[in-house]
Amino acid sequence: MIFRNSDELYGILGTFFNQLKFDEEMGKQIRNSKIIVQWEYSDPPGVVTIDATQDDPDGGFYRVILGPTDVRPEIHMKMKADVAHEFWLGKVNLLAALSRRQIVAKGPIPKALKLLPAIKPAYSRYAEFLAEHGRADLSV
Amino acid sequence: MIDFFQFHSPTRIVAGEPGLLGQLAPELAPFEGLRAGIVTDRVLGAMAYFHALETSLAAAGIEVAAVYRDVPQDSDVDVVHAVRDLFAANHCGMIIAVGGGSVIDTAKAANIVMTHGGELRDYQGAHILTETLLPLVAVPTTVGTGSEVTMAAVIADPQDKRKLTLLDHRLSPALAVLDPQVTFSLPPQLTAATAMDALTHAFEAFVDLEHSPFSDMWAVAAADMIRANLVGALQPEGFAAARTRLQWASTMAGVAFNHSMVGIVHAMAHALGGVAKVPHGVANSLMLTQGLRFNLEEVPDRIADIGVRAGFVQATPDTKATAVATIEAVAALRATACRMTGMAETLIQAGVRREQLPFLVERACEDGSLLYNPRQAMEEDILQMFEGVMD
Repeated sequence: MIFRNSDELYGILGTFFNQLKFDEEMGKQIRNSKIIVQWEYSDPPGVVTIDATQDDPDGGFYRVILGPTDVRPEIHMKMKADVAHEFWLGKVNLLAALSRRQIVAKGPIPKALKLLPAIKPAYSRYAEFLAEHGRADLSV
Repeated sequence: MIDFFQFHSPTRIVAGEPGLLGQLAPELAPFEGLRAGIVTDRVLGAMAYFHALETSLAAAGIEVAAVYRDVPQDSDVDVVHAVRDLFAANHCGMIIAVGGGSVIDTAKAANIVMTHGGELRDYQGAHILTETLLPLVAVPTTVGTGSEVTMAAVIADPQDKRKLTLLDHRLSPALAVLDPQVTFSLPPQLTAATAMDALTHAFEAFVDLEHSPFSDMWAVAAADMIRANLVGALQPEGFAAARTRLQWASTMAGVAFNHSMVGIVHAMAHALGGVAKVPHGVANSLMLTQGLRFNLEEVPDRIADIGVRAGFVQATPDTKATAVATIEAVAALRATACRMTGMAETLIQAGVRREQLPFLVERACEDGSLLYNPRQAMEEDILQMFEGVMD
């Protein structure tokens, strides 16, 4: 397991998501999609939701909710936390992962897939983010 | 570089002489004792071959418990729920689809809500089904859908005028029946349009990002067979052998795109269907060479490769020139089909209005098929392709 427990998962992935929501380029595109996506992780468990239909109280382009929430997602994606980590490193072929059920996606998937080109810059940012937070070991 | 691929084609495919549907009892025997619900449309439900199928079902010990005959050209959620209600009330234990893509996809979608409960909208997604589905027998009556061997169903949602995509290995029919007889009563224009749909499946499956040596094999065989038989199938008589081969090719193309999916041509065709009600085969026919020209910059080798392997052109040392020649050969085949049948050659002829272009571009841009296309398209690219065949 990449993340030892849920606290570490939220500490890394959650913080990363909260950082990305201020990105001009990616943030605007996600905001314009008016999408609500929820990622449900296992090993360790965790839930992260982004809600681009609501204003972010912190002034970001969309809201990031860490942990269980009553917000009903339009798209729900379930995966092992390790797969999520690999995805943000740009090492997962999403189309193949869906077909292999490494990621189980419910909802209008094309709407989420359409954002893939927009979030490409996030892959290098995640590796940088890990390094900045003293966890470069995870990006090897 | 292909980092992963798989091949899984669980549907038993049976084909034979014209009239196979009347002699199908041995293939239907595994379903003996079940109550069948049949999905079809009004025209097909009155055909002689439909009654021949009923004879085979009786011989196999299968009772026809209900027949739904009202599937429209583009089926929607309400139709699916009506099928579910009818079949559930009649305790159907298997489903038989006799028709084109809309009919077969309706049967697949009804199967989901019959076995999983709830509303169809709850099942959008990829590989999320959890329960065993009822056995599905698919009898394609066009030469274009491929749905008889795919794990996908696309159903319109009238609530937001979009299409729901349902993808799961469990959706693949148990049995696909290819009776050439069903193609003999197809009007020439429908034959041309659905064959161009199948040709688009073959070409897009070959050039898409997710292609593999396995999907390539099926795509090439299908494209070659369509190239060799389309004109013969459109003759006023003596078309039996050619139409039989188009039927096989359509199923082969279905196996191909079931694995590597479709691309930008389908994204535009889906938009044309949703916004302007252009029949799917006509829409693909209109946009195929536009899409290939767009992809030429990115994958000339792939376009040239299928052109040579499927017999559209001779190999030359200049890959790009071979690819261009392939596209021209496809355009020439389409032009011949249009001339022979009166199939639309422009969007205007297909009933599209210029003021619909912005909405068409918007809908094409949000289509999932774009993700599999080898070259990323921007809004202006798609607008340019639509304008390229406008009038």
